Amino acid sequence: MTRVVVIGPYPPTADPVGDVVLGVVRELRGAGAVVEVVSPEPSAAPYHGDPATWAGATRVARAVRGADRVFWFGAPGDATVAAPLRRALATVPRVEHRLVPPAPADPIAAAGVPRGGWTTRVARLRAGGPTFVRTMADRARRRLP
Amino acid sequence: MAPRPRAGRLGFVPVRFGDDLVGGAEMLVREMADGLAGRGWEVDVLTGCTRDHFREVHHYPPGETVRPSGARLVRFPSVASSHRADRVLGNRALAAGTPLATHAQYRWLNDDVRVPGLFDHLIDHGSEYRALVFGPYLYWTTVAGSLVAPERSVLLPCLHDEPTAHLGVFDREFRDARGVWFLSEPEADFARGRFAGLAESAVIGAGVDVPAGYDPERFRARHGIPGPFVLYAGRREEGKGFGRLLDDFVDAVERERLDLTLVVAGPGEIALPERARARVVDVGVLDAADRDDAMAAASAVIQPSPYESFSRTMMEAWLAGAFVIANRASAVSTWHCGRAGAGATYSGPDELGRALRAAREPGARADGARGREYVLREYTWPAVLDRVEALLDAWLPEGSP
Repeated sequence: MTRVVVIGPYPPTADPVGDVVLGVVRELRGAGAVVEVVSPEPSAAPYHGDPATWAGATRVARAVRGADRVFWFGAPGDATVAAPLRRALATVPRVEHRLVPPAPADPIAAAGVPRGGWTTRVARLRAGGPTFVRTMADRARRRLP
Repeated sequence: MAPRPRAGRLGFVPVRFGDDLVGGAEMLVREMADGLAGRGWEVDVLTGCTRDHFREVHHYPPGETVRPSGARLVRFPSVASSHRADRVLGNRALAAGTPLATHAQYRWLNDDVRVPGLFDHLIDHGSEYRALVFGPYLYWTTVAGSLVAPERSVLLPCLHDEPTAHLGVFDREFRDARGVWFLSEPEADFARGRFAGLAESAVIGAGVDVPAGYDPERFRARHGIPGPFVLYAGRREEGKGFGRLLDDFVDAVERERLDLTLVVAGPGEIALPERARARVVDVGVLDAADRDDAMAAASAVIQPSPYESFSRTMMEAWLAGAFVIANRASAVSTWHCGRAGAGATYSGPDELGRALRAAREPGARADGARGREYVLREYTWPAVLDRVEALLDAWLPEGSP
């Protein structure tokens, strides 16, 4: 049985790519594949991890190891991928990047709010500041031509 | 009349499920699922393992069981982050009236208890259900689950005007579902004003079981309450208006010089203000029979909650023939009183005092009898399940794609 790992935004999410990913997962599962989804943020996927960070890439790499096929949504290449995941992807027979159009501009992201982990956001919320955190997919989209 | 064909499987997707759960929404889903199974429908209840969203996330074991009604109960493992920071801070921001950006709303939502196995089940088997019923509206299971097969998804939102109801993260479920079942007309009115492009909707109400009888003296003897009292039955928490009730009640009985005790029943911690201690008796959590006896023994049953989508407590009180006094801030409670031609509403201690005095007058029992007639006419389970089946036939006929 084919084991497929899908990396990308997954419902429920504000990112419209989530619906695209759900459609692909539905097709793959319908065709009998064993599908595991890894999203950059918590979602209906059993795992999540930001491939651009060391910790996130390690989590995604754990899921990718031993996969027959990987679908990657929203990533233009391996440039934003931390080393653990790069090494794991190198062992997968087939990795498909599905580039997706940029999401509509987010006014908070456009304002240049710095990113941070949850502890940073806690501190920021306590200080009354914004809570937005950029995801790998968001940063990747900005590098798209 | 030919018997109604009950073909096709129905799926109920509550955020949590258990015979030991006493919340109104939980009881509604449980009794509706069991009631439809008892009428011959194939019913699945699909849920997680959570009993309490923060303290007992993994309370029930995952797996499959069959309920006495014949309904199949399938529990999938629940998942929650260890820190719950997005949830806690989001709740705090909502309580303070601070708007949450779209991205923050999704982080708040996804820091609820999640059930990925349930989501996968709906991807694989959603099309095998004639209808999938999700509720209440604000939980992860409803938001995520209802977008898998929206064409056969029905919301049972238990909606009222609260800060979370204004979050955009819920727009999609109300717009894309096949339909929405409301419990009252004010709930439907609020949804029509709040959600542009609201899906087709209907008011179905909620059923309540009619007790075979009442024994008020048994309650008085068991709890040692010989004198006149009014009853609060429900969760003891701020959102239910409980803290405000304690103050209003003491003010009211002092101003009106009434010899009345407030008996409080239900789960939750209770911290009585000093001035309320002599006038309040805490009887803790009551079983259904004891609660019904308490309602029959009470001079009045008070519903202080400003947030109600149905108010099962008012129905149970009226069935017991009790005089009902409800907070006018709840459009639903006020609507029930108007339709039933029974009960009284109040806003503040002055009006509460007058209502408490009215509850002691001879006409109060006749008022309670009108309330009982209203419940028997509108909210028995057979009446509600007839409405549900008619809507299933109209919206999701057997064999629809």
